Amino acid sequence: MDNLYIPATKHSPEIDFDYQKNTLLLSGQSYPENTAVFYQPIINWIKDYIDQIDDQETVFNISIVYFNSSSSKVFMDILDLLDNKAKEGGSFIINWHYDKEDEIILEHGEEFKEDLEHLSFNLLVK
Amino acid sequence: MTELSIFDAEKDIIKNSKTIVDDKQFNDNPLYEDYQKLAVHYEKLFHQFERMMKISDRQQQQLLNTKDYILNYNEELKQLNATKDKFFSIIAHDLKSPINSFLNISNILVNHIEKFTKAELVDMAGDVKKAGDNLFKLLENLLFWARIQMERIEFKPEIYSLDTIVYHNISLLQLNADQKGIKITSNISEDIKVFADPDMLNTILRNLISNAIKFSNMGGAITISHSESENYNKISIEDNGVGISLGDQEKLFRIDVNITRPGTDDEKGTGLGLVLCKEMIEKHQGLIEIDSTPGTGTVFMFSLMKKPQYSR
Repeated sequence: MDNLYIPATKHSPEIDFDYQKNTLLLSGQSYPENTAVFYQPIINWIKDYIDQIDDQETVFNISIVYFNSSSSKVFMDILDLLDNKAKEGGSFIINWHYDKEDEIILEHGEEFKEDLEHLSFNLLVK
Repeated sequence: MTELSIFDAEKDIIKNSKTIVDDKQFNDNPLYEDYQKLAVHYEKLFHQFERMMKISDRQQQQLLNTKDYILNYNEELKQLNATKDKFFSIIAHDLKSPINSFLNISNILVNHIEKFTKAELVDMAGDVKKAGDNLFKLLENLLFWARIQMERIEFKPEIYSLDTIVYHNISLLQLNADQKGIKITSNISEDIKVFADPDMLNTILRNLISNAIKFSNMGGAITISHSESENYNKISIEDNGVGISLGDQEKLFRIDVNITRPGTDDEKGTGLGLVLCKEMIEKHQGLIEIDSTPGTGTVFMFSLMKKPQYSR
């Protein structure tokens, strides 16, 4: 499979998924004009990725400063995919990065963390 | 008692669907599997929805806060811009004319100095000095006012004797008063203490006393007195001079109108003195008032809070 890199725009985050290093990065703002169109290839890549990994540890860094409601639905779906994979034996570390000054993003992170049971979700100050 | 929730109906549906899924008698129903999937998905969706609502509410609140902040900021910028406009208009009007007269006299001196008698030259040198003094006074006030606007002047109140500071300012202006035969009396007793910023109170007193001298006739009298209420010290400066018409009284403290008129001995003003006084008195949570009758005299009263509540 190929790595996935999408540069950031004003409305969409930078995506840097590296299957060889087992690192995923989602960074920036997320309010694309069409959330489904933007995230479709990303979700597909993640589905392919979790199908082909064994017991390697994957680190997923999320550093998001603003996102719209449909993006938050997509984030939850992605995290659910990973949580389900972790339940079957995959190992995932999610790092939710937030600015020290930005308590709102910290609280959002706590919301995303809430329903996840099988992966480790860290809230980290930038 | 269960927690109040906007999702009671959804929670009921989830509870009922679980009862049905768990009930063995429905296991053989051909729709059982679809129903079970639906129930599981509904619950998952419900949890996502619940969390998304929280996130969304929080984000909307944050946007509102940001909007408020920007609106306030905008208002502040508008005021600053108005202040800046006023500042430039003062520079344009009030700084230009004294500099002009300054230049005119120097031009005459440079080009025609040999045509004048010594007595005339002494006179002109006196005029140059007057113009220079006035220019300096205007600049000083302008810069002081600009610094207050920029909040560069720290407000540092102290407790000290009112009597001492009043006498200090009278003595600074005694010469001007003597020239017009004006008698300045202070009725302030030695034990009165005020809580004020000394630099500011000096400027306030200097401006008000020199105004009183300016607009008093030869042989006039100026009286400085003190009274107090529960929260305020009140200081008044009274003269029996030319007075100020009602129409002009309203404009005295406004920077955008900026009136100035010459004194009884043709003393020039800056039009900034009272504006400055008002700003500084407001820093003390106080008020400045005027009571004047043209032809009879003027009283300026200002109050200083005994213990100012800090608003900034």
